[in-house]
Amino acid sequence: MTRFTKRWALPLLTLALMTAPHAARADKKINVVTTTEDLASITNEVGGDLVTVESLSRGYQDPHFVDAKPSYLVKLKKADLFVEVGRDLEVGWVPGLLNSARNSKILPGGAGFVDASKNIQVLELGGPVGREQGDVHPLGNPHYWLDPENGIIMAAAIRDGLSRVSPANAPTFASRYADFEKRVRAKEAEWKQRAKSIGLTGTRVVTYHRSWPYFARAFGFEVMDFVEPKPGVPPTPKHIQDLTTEMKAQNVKLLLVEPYFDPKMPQQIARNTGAALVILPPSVGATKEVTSYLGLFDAQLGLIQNALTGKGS
Amino acid sequence: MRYHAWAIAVLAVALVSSAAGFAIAQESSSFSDSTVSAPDAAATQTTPVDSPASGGVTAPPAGSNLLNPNISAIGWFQGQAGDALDRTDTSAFQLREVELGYQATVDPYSRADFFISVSPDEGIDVEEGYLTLLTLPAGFTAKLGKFRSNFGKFNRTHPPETPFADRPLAAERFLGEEGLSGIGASVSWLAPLPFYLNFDGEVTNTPDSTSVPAFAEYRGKDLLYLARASTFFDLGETTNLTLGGSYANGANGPAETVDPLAVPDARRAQLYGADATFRWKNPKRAIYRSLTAQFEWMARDPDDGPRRTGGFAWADYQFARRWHLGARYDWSQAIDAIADDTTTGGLGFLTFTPSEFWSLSLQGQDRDFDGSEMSYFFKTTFNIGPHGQHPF
Repeated sequence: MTRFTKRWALPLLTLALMTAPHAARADKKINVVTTTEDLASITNEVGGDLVTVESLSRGYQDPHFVDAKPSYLVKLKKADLFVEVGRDLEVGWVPGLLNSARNSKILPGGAGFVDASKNIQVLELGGPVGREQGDVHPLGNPHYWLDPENGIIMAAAIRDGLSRVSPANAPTFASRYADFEKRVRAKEAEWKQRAKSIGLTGTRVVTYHRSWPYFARAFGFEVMDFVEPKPGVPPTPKHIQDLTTEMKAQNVKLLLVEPYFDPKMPQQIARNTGAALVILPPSVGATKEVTSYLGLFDAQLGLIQNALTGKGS
Repeated sequence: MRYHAWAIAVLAVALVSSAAGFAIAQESSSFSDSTVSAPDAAATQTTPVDSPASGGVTAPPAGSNLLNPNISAIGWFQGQAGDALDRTDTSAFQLREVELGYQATVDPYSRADFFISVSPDEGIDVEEGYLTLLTLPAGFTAKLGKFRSNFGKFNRTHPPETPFADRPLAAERFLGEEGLSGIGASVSWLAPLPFYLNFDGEVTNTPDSTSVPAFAEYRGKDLLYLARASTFFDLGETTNLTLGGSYANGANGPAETVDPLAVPDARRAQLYGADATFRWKNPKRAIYRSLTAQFEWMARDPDDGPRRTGGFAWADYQFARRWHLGARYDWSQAIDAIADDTTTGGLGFLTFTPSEFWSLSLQGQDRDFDGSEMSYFFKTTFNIGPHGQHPF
């Protein structure tokens, strides 16, 4: 060996070893960061083994109020794909994170940015928009994932996003999406039947926040009123009193509350009206039992069934 | 003088209670509205407006207005009473600032943020106006224009958005009433590590000493150099810690010369800072309870003068959905004084936030200059425009 080779062998070998993983990048998993666990679950359905998915928020958090922690930047910087619920649901924390994440791929308009609401027919769009209405979303009600039909549309948006960042795997994503669609449709028929049989369909309910119009549409019940007088505005004694009277008059049997609200006021309403209070998980991960998007509706209907049939709430 | 204090206090209480009453009246009157409108809402649910026939995709209405930047305005109104009014030319009522924000992406590579502050006393000022380059490689971003300097944690917050009616004593004595900002360039680098570690470097003009006492602008070429390292750790799901260290080196006026005809060199002053921010919030009850505690220390080392130090520590406890209670402790030497006496002070505040967009705060400040000096404030800030980023 010449002196030259001796001197450079080690550094060159090291360099070769360091670059080796890059050659193997074709097998590297697609790194997906989502804002919610619902999106993460659907991404796992569509991406399968080809993706690693992480959600920034947990299902028991109010998705309007997630802190924009700097630790999220570390995750976003490495992401190949970013998926958000959109419609201003995450307006208080996502835009600043994306601008600071040093990852132009996942900026709005980039190949790695997915707004899952893109093809959703959103509700409550086109009404009066002004802060006198409370904390309204000018782009429509963003809680659209609570209709399983919309889960299919979200999955399509995620499929398209994954195919953009990994075109070679597009056929896999397409077939996994088709399979997911088939499974959702099969379950959907089962859920709708169950909603009818447990007496949810056709009933009138009261919810805390305006989170459930899509869920109500999917399962055919009417949301009569809200514990919040206006979105984001905390309840007042007067409103609660009027609500209680109205619930009694209308014989409302069900009070649905998101787990991140203080249950004290709803408990009082339930006591005074005889309605069953259900702390209903609005997202995957809201409770330990809810681990997938398909499991979310099973869990929700199970809790409502228990409440309506008096098996505790 | 005492009448003054009482008048302000009565006005403040009246405003707070009328605000609360107004909110309650609004909320209760809305009940009938919402029951009446419930069927209407249900009707609109099935027919989304503005959906083109093809595929039912909902899109916002077309129009050139959509390319307008996000426009927001924050008002900061304040009433003051107490000893400081006797000593200074401060007025009892102050429209401290109206801050106008214009923010949008410029093109796929950059965005622009303008914050114009308007006040009866200070006139119109570009508080910040900068271009951010978003698509730089290797974990870099850069800013060009005028921006609030990355010295410490507190300095970056726009004055209306701090929890306080005043500035912490050390921040005021070292960095001025508006805080340190500069015209120049800033580069920020997020280290490729599994945890958050960020480095900032800034080069700006040295500000003049009337606005920022720590430095003194001299010649155009005497720039201010600033570096900051900051890191963030989740201590658990509910608690986290941000730590930072800052350094700034800027002009400090002309040096003394023997030759009266020679152009003297600039003197320099160096500024060191350390900060720690602790936060607690249970994510399952995020809107009801939280705690933020911050500590900040700074020291100034001029070329030809003594070292002077100061700092502040404060905590803000959100004890109910719309209520915050907080306190701050201040200590600081006077940077240009021969004597190295440390002035101490404190501030207490109780803040009511009827909504995310409006806050009302009663505050009491005690500063120990030559004997205790008490001031009382009523601070209210209110903002209009699109929903902005929640502070963190």
